Amino acid sequence: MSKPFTFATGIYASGDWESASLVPQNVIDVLAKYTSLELNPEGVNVRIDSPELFEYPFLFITGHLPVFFTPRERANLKEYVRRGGFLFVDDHNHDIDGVFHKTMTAELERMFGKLKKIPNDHRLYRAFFEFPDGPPTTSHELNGWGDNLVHDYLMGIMDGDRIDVLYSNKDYSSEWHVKLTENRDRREVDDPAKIAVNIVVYALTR
Amino acid sequence: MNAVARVRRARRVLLCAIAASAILGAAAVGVGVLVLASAADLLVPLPLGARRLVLPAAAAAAAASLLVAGWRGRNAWSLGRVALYLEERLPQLRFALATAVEPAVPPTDAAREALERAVANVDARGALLRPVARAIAVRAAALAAALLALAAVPAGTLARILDPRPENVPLPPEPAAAVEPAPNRLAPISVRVEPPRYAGREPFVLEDPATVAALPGSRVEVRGRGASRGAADSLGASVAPASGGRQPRDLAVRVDGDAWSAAVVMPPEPAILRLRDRAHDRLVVLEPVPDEPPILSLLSPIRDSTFAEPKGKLDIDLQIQDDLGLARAEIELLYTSGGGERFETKRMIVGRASFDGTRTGRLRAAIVLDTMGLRPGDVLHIRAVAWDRNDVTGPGQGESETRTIRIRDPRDLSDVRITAAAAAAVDTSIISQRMLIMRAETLLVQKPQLEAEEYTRRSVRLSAQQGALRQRVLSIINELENVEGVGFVGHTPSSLVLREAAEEMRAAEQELSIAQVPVALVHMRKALALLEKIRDANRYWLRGLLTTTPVEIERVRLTGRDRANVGPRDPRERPEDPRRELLQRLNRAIALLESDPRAAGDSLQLVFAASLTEARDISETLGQAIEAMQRGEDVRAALIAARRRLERKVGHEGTLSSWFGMP
Amino acid sequence: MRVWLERGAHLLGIAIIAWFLVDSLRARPGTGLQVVEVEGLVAELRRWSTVAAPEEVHVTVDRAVSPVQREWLAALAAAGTRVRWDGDSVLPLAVALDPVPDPDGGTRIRVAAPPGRTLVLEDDAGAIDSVVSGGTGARFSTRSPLRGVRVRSGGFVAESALRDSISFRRLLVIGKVGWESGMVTGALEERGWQVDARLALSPHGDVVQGAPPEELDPARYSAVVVLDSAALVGPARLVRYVRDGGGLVITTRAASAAGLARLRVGRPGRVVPPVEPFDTSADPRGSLGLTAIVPAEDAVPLELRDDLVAVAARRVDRGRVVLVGYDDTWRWRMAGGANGVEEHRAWWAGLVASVARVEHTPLPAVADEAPLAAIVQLLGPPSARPADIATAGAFPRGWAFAALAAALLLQWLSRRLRGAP
Repeated sequence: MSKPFTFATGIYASGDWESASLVPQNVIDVLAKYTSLELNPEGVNVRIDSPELFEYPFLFITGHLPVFFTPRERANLKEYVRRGGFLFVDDHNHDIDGVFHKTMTAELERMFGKLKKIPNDHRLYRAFFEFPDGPPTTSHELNGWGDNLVHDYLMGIMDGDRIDVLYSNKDYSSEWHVKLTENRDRREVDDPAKIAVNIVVYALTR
Repeated sequence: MNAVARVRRARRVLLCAIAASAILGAAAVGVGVLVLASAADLLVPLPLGARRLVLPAAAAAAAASLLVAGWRGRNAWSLGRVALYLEERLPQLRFALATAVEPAVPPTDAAREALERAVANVDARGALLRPVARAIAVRAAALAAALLALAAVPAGTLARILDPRPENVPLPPEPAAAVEPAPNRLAPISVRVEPPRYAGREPFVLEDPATVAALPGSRVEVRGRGASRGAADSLGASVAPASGGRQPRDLAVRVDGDAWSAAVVMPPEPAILRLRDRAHDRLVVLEPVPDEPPILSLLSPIRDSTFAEPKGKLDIDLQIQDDLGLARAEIELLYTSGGGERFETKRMIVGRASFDGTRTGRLRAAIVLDTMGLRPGDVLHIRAVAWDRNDVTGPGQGESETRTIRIRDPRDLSDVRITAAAAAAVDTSIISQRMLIMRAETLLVQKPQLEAEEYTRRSVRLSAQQGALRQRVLSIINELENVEGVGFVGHTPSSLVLREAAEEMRAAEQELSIAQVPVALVHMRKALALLEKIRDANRYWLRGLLTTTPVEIERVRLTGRDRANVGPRDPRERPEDPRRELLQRLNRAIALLESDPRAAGDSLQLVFAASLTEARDISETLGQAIEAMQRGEDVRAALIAARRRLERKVGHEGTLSSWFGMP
Repeated sequence: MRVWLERGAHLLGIAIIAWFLVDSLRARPGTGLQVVEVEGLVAELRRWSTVAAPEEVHVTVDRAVSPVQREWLAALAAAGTRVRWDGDSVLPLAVALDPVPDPDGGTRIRVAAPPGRTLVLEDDAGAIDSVVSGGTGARFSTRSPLRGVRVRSGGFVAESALRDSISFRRLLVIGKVGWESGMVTGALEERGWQVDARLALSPHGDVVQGAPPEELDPARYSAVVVLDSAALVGPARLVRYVRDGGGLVITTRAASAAGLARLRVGRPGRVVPPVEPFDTSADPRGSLGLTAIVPAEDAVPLELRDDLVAVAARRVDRGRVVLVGYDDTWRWRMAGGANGVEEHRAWWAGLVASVARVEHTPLPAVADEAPLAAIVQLLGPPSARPADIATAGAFPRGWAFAALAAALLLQWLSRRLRGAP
C-alpha cells in the first residue's frame, strides 16, 4: 500500500512556525475537491532538524517572526531539497520590509543561493488551473495589509526551470488559515486555495 | 747469461707480445663490427633478424682474429725460429745465436766459448722491443679508434644493435643542431609564496613544486635559472582557471642576469600556471587554501528558553576563534512584539568588541529584562556576528547560533511553555534519571557475582534515589501548575506529561524496592523518554502538540466546480556529473603513462587541479602520484586507486545471473 | 699435425651436414609424432610450416594459447597434420563484455570460470577489480564505458572487446501523480532516458509528458514502466507491445489490473509494511514496504528480501517483463542513506536496463573471449598425452650450425695461411 500525499508543516526552533495551523486542512480539502490524489486527511507537523522530515517530500514553512535556522536545520533542509523534497515558504507577514521576509530570504539564500523571480508563464501557473497573470492576488493584498503592495510574482530557488524552493510574499498563510465550515461561501476559500492545487501538483510532477 | 738463456727470454717476450696484440686486435675487430653494423642501421634501418646476427657476428670476428693472430705467432714457440728472428734483425751476430741454439754438430768447448762471446758482444734488447712495442701500439690504437667510433653512435641505435627487440623503432639520424639539446630552463624552479599582509604569516619557498597551496591573495613568484642560455623572450607564463571557461592570462616574465621570474596572485579558485620555454612547458597547480570565517560559540544562554515573566538579568557570553585573526564582533538582539497580523521588530547591538588580529576572543554582555518593557508573548532573538581581517576575499563573517527567548503568554492555554527555572530542573532530572538507569543496568550485569543480599541492598538504595528524583519532578509540576503573577492556575500540557513521568518513576521505585531491576528498568526508561519530550517541547514552543483536524476526503472528493486544464509535465534535465568527466580524463592520462609520460604528467596535473573543486576525495592521492611521478617512481597503482574512487563502485558478484541484464 | 687438424674440421663439417640431412628426412610427414609444449610452440609451428610438417602433433597446453597459435594449429590440421592436444590444468575461462542498456553508460562483464578461482579484471590501464568466482563464474559492472577487458586467473587469460554499440529509444512511464511516479520519472531522466509519461491526476485530465501514442510500439519505446494502472489505456496494447519485443517494468500494484494476465510474472504474496522511520543503517530496500512476489514457474527471481521475492522477471514471447514488489521506492531516494539519490537512480536504471530493447550496431572487435572453447572448436576435444615420444625441439640446430661454420672457417683459414689451395 503506497503512502498518500501528506501536507507537512515545518517546525523550526526560532519564530512562530505554527502561526497558520489551519492551512493544511484547507489545502487538503481543495486537493480532494479537484484531484484523485491519494491524500492523508490530516497534515503533520515535522521538525525540520529531524530525520522524519525526509518522509514528507512536501514541506510548508510559514511564520511572522525572525527566522534563524540552527546548523542542523540548515543541513537537513539543504539535504532535503537535494534529494528532491519541495519546500514552500510563505511570509505570513505579507511585508517585504518585515523580519520574516528579511531573515528567511537570507537563510534560503545562504543555503541554496540566489532566489529568483519565477516568470508568470511558468508551468507552476498551468499545472492544474490556469493562472495566466501569475500568482492570484490575495484578499490581504487587496485590503492593504502588511506592506500595502500587490506582489505579482513568486520567487524560487531554481534548477534551470525547475523550482526546488518556492517562496511567497503573498501571505497565503492568512488566506488559507480559515475554518472549514459546511456552508461557507466557496469564493471565500476555494478561489485563493486553487493555487495550492497547482503548487502541490507541480511539486509532485516536476 | 748464455746464448740459449737469451733466446728463451726473447721467446717469453715475444709470446707475451703476441698474446697482448692478439687480444687487442680481436677486441678492435669485434667493436669494429658493431660500429659498422650501427652505421649501417643508422643509414638503412636493419631488420630485426639482421640486428640479432650482429652480436654473434662481432664475437665470431673477434674469435677469428684471435685465432689468426695466434696462428701467425705460433713460430714464437720454437727457440730456433726465435734465434733466427733475432739474427734477421742483428746481422752482426752472424748466425752465432742460431748456431748456439741449434748446432748442426755438437760444438767443441772452444767453439762454444767463441759463440758465447760473439753473442755477448751484441745487445739484442733493442732489436726485440721495438717491433713488439709497435705491434702492440698499432692494435691498441685500432681498438681505441673503434671504441671512439662506438661512443659516437646514438644511444638508441646502439640499443637496437645490442638489445634487438621488435619494439625498438629505428631512429632517424639526429640533426647537427640536436647534438647539444637546448637546456630546459623550467627545471628546476623555486616558488616563493608571500601570504597577504593581513594573514601575518612569513613568506616561504617551495623547491620544484607541482602544486602551490596558499591563501588567496598570496603573491606567488616562480623563479628559475638559465635566462642567459637562450632567447629571453621565449620564456613565457600564463594562468588559467582549472575549471576552464576563461582564456589564459599571460604573465610578465622578468629577466635579471641569468635568473628569470614570473609572479601571480593566488586566485580564489584553483588555477593552472603554465610556464613555457621554447619546446618545453611545465604546469604548476595553484591551490587556494581558503581563509575560514570566524567560529562563534554562545556559551550563555546555552539554549532557547521561555520566561514566565520579563524580569531579571540575562547574561550573554560569547567565545570566538578564527584561523588567521579576528577583526571585530557584535552581539545583536532582535526584539519582536505584537500579534495577529501586526508585529514589530527592533534590532539593537548589546555588545561590541574589536580584536587586533588575535585568533581567539571573548565577548560578554548582559540584558536587564525589567527595563526593556517586554510584554507577554514577546520574543527576543540573540545572536552574535564576528568578522575576520581578510581584506582580499573577505572579510569573512561568522555567526553564532541564535537563541530565542520568549516571554510567556498566559492566554494561550495550549502552550507547553515552562519557566526557565523549571526548564533547568527538567534538565537536571534528565541527567539524574539517565544516571539511575546506568546504575540499574550495571547492577543487572553484576548480579551473577553478587550475593543475593547485596544485590537486594543495592536495588533498594536505587529505589530510594528514584524516589528522591520523583519528589523533584513533583516540585516542578507544582511550580508549573501554580504560577503567580500571570493569573494562571491549573494543568498545563507540560505538567501533565511530567505527571506521567512521575507515575513511571513511582512504579520503578516500587519494583526496585523488591529487587525487580529488569521490570524497574522498563519504567525508568519510559520516565526518561517523557522528560526528554518535555525538554523538546520547551525548545519548540507548542511542539507538535497542535491538534490537526482531519478532512473528510470522501465527502468532498471531486466536488470542485471550477474547470481545470491540466498542464503537461516538462522533462527534467540530466544533471552534470563532474566526477564522470574527471574519470574519463583520468583514464586518458593513465593510458598515456607508457607512451608519453610527459603528456600523462601534464594531464594528471590538470585532473588534479579540477579535482580540487570537483572531487576532493581523490585530490590527495593524485597529488601524491604527481610527486611520485616527478621522482621517477611507478604511479600506476596510485592512479588506479584514484580511478576506483571516482568509479565509486565497481559492482561485482561471485555468480552469474540466470537473467541476462540484471544489474 | 696441421693437416690432420684440417682433415678433422673437414670431417666434422661433413658429419654435421649429414646430421641435418637425416633430421630433415626424419621430420617428413609420416615420419612420426611431435609433442610440444606451449612455450616452444611458436618456433615449432614456424619450422613445421617452413621446413616440413610432421604427420602428427600433440600440444601440451599448460598455459594460455594465443589466438594466432590456435589458428596456426588449425591451419596445420587443415593441411593434413593430425593435431591433438591435452591440458589437464587448463582453466575453462570465458568472458563477455556488453554495454549496459543505460544512457549513463557503463559496462557489464560476465565471466564463466570454475568455482573458487580468483578472477582479476583488467583493462589497458591496469587492474579494475577482482572477485572469487562462485558456482558458475562472476559478473562485474563498471561505470566506465570499457572498450576491452582481460580476465586473468593464474596463467590463463581471456579477453573481450566491445562488439556492439547501442542506441536507445524513448521510455514511457505510466502511473498516477504522486511521489513514486514523480521521483521514478525524475530518476530515469537524470540517468539520461528520454521519457514520455502519462500520469493520472483527475477527471479534469492527466499529466502528460511528450506525446505517448495509444498504440505502443517497441520501435518507439525501449521500455515501458507501469507504476499504477490508473492511466493505462488498453491493457491489450501493453500485452501486444511486450509480445512484439518491448520491455516492461511493472509494480505488483499495477500488475493486478485486468487484461494483463498474459504478462503475469507471479502473484502477490505476503504484504510487509514499511519501516518508519527509514532505517539508514541497514539495506535501504529493507525499509520499503513490500508486496512479496510468488513467481510463476517460468519466472526468474532477481532479488530477494529475507526469504521473499522482491523482484522477478519473465520472458513473454519476444519481450521481457520485470515485476517489482516494492512500494514507495521514493522513500529510498528521500530518506535512504547518504547515497540514496544515486542508489535509487541506479537501481531503477538497472531495472529498466534489464528489460530495455535497444538498437545494436556491431563493432569490429578482435578478442579471445573463451580460449578453451576456441581450442575445442578448432582442434577438437583434448586427448591423452602420448607416452615415450621424444619431445620436439630437442635437436640443437643452432649449435650444430655454429659448429659447422666454425669447422669450415678453421679449415679454410688453415689452408690459406699455409698457402695450400
